[in-house]
Amino acid sequence: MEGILTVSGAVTTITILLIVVFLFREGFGLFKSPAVERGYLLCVNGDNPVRHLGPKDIKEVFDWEITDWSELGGPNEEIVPYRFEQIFDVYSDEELGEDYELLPEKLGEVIASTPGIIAFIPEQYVPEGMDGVKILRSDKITPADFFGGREWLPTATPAPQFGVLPLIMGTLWVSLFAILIALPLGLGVAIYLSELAGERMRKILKPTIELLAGIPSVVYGFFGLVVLVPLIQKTFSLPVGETAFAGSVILAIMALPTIITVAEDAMRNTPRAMREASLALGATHWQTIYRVVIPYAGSGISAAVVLGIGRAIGETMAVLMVTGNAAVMPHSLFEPVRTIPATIAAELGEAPVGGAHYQALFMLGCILFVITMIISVTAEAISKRQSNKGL
Amino acid sequence: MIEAKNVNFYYGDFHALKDINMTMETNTVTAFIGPSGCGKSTFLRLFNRMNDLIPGTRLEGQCLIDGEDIYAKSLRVDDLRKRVGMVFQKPNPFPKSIFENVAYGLRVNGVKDRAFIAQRVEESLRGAALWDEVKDKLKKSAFELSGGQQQRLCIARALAVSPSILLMDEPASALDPISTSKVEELIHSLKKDYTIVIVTHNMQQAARVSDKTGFFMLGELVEYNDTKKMFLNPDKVQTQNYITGRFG
Repeated sequence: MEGILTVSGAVTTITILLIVVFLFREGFGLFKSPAVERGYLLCVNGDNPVRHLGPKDIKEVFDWEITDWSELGGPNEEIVPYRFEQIFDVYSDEELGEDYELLPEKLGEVIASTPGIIAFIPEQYVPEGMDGVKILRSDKITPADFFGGREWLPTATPAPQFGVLPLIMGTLWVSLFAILIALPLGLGVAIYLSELAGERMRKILKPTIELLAGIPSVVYGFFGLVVLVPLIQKTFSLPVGETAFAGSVILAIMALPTIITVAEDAMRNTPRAMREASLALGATHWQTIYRVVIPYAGSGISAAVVLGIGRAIGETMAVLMVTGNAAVMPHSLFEPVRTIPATIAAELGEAPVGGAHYQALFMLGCILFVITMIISVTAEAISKRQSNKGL
Repeated sequence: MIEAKNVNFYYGDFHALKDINMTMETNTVTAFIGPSGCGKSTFLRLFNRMNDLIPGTRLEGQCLIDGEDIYAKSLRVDDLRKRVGMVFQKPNPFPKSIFENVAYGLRVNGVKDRAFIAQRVEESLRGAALWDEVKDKLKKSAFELSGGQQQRLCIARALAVSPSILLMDEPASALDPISTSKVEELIHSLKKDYTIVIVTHNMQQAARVSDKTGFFMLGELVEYNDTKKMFLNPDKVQTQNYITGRFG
């Protein structure tokens, strides 16, 4: 019997560790991926001294935001972005050969004759070894690009952008405001239920609230989409109702049952002797609640807070449905945002396995994992410090 | 002076106290003895209205302190409890520092003057014969004290709000003999300033600390007499049987 328990414990632990290892291994693969879309290369004129470009530079060049090589450490030469499809405007299919075998040669001629060119070409058509053509060595995606990037455009060509800042900010905004709404409400209801409500009221309210915790999140999301989003749009006269605020409210509603139940249990566990001692000293009911019951239930209450935050940060479906999912840096609560879990859920299906996009999504998973870990470690530390004080 | 007039008390349908009349004089120690479940703790808890906390209870008759009906509608319960302190069976310090435990009653009374609080804390701890043992660790958690020290801390806590009456519900039943004798000495020295009512299971303790003793059985006050007379020559045969241990 003991053996079975030991084995099952060990197997569970190893499985969890393996999942974490898998998550991080896939995620960190991102930093080995080239900045240019897989299967493509960038070529420049042979006289161009620029040797490599980062993902952001490449994107800005092809978006006409950087227009001169001098901005990238090259000569004073206007940049001519060139996508290989443009070759078909000049040459007919016959001129390029049956299997496009002449395509690399023609591309090479174009590149050699245009000093400012930067051409985006599929690997198999690259005019390798031709005079006047230099293949640009593409940078790897760096952690700085990932964690510091402000743009999340995972399907952009030629260089997808994996800037995770807007997603982190979106997650933090939505979760933070959700907790700001849910915490005072939740604690208020918990205090009411444990200290003020009559026995009959409690018997009705408590199971009802616990029932709310069992409703699938998609139902909350649907409710949010149909009721809350139009309401917010009308109330604040916004162009769209799908905003960070809508997400916060839905998350707050979802986190409430957990916060209420856990905090209420903690408060009711305050020994009767403590309440009586306080009341016997002439403290009023209120003074007893906030000077004895709440401090006594401190660790339980912080557990409630952490569980609430955990629910808010990890929640996917409801948030995906009501926040509008625009992966841009949020400036106010009343703009569409996109959270990390929503991004993973929405994009994992269309990201090719093993590609940079796929790895970037795993990296997002790693970020979530780290955030959750920080929160629970903090909570542990808080409750430990309290129990050391005898609280 | 504490008076009970025709007191009947019910837990739901259960008739816990039956028609009790009793008067306890100022600056005396009165002990309640009797078998478990006889109603002596219930009776004690009437005088700081602790029974109000239990749902489904009902009181008939009058409880008076210095002639004032403490169940009158105009009376504020928290004011009453400041005048009538209570020490419980099990030491129940708050999960706070020693200092804060004693200061608690002052703080909930709205006292903000730090110097005054510090002075009251010291006086109360001295009054509870605990000062010398804890004066160097006032900031430490009350849970670090021994059971006997915790109980004296609870007494100090009750003294800090300057009550005139002290109700003690088996204050020494969870303590070892040495701590018990310290608490008993303490009761003795507190008598000159406080009216003390103590519930006890321990007959010797009642004999040692009290001036008068009430014997309760099955919700009735069987006999109420001077402690000496009670233990040497009780009026009722039931009292005699209980005190000599022949009670069945």
